[in-house]
Amino acid sequence: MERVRKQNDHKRFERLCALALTDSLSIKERRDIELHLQGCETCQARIQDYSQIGEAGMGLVAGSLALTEAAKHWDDQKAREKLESSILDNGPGGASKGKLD
Amino acid sequence: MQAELQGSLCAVQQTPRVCEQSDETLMELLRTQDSQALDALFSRYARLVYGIAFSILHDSGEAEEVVQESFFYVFRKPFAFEPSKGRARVWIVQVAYSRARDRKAHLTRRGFYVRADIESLGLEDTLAGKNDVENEIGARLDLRKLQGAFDDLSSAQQETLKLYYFEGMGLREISQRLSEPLGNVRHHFYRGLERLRKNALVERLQSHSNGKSTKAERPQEI
Ligand SMILES: [Zn+2]
Repeated sequence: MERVRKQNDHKRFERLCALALTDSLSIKERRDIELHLQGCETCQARIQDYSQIGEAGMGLVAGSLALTEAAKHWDDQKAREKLESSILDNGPGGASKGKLD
Repeated sequence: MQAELQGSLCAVQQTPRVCEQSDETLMELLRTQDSQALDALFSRYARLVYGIAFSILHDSGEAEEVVQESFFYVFRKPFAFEPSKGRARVWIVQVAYSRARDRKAHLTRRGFYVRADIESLGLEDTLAGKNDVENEIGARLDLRKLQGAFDDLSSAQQETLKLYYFEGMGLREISQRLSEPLGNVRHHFYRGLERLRKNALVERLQSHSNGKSTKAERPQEI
């Protein structure tokens, strides 16, 4: 009985790990998950997993969804030439542009 | 001293030697500013990068800008890729995805509060991988499995994750858009993300908080 209760309690933190990445936590939930994370390596790993899925994994999903449509018919030649010219313009190792840093 | 550009960015001029190299070897060649290596990577992944950007930005011109920025970055910052942390393909996807999302946020002036929330939680160290599991991230998840796993999510979960990750909406906004209570949207978000995670988990590292193997644990609705 006690074990089931603990599992249910932990389920709540597992949910909060995912929701911690969003704008939807209440103040109490934020405080609870923050405290919990200090002592739970499982949830530390879990929140990194969610973050990794959000940062890179969903990109793969986006790519695979889009490849069936717009990207299939995209002509990359113009972008290739533009990239070449921006590299030549800036010179290798030269001034960076935009968000490079 | 600046290195000389080796060759031009033209697919037809790629030598067989470069074309046959692995992504990781091409990344190494990029460290010497080898533009043929960039050309090879461009040939392999420009369409993928464009697809990612287009699915987020819904605009061909904006998506092309992201392609430019992403490969320019790949060429300029090859040292930012750390082979020990994962595959080059995933890194390139990450570069493209983050630029596309930044651009989306810039264009819509949304998304910044998510970062602020994470900071206020004091989770930066956890999310930045500055703890014990730092070196296990690449090994814990096989992100390639996500593409198939996403198709298996419920339509509500897919919609919620798409609106959040591709459209840059917050969960409260999604709740309004879908005319669903916030609690339901939170549920879809968590269940969807968790199912993706379970599918992507590398089996040997699957473990439960109570120490039991989750090998037999299948994604299930709650
Ligand atoms: Zn925990």
